[in-house]
Amino acid sequence: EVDVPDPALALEQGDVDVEAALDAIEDGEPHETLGSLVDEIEDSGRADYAGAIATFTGRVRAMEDEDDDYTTSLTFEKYDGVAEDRMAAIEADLESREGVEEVLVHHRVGRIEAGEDIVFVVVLAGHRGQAFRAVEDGIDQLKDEVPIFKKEITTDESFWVHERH
Amino acid sequence: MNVELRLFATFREVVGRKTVDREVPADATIETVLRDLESEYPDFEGAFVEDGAIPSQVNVLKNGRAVVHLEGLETPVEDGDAIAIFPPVAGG
Repeated sequence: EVDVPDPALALEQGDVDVEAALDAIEDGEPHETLGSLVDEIEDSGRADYAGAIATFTGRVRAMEDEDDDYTTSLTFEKYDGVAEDRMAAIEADLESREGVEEVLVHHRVGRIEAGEDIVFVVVLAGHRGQAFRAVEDGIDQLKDEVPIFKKEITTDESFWVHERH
Repeated sequence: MNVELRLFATFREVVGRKTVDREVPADATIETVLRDLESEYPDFEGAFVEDGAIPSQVNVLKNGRAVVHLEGLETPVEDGDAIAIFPPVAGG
């Protein structure tokens, strides 16, 4: 017989800081999806000039090949403020190109499970060539310039990705 | 004067916290701050200043600007500065 206190779980008043919880929710990032970003860019005031929307979605790849350890999740942390500034600079840089009307870049943080989406680049452009080029350059610049870090959790271990590449 | 250090990823794990407030001398530079951190944490020994420069795999930002685009190790530090130190970025 196991001696279990009664009740097994008791919360004293004051254990839960409701104010802090609400602040955390308000400070949290909006939940964006590829769909919500495409919806947003379709509402652009420049939509009349756009014949193309191109998108890139980065997701958690579980396996590199069939012998690879299964990656169960990635955990991302970012330099708050500076990461947003640099993503905004990438958007502005791409939007200054001929034919590129609007660009949205969004990167999730925290723990993201295998198969889930991590990062989105969405481009509204006059023509498809401009859209494809801006999407590719956007994700490449993000990977080089935005202070975001990732820890990989596999079935066997966990490690910081920057130490393996 | 005081500066706020912000550490990320592996560097954060060494220190155990995201931010550290440090008191530094009035004439401090980025080098002063980095050497001070190196001497406090054995895991950081030689990590931030190597052959008179910041190693290429280490990023140091002062108030959001890369110090390599300022005056490098000689970049002066002022009271209240936020100094970020992080390994290569790995987003996406």
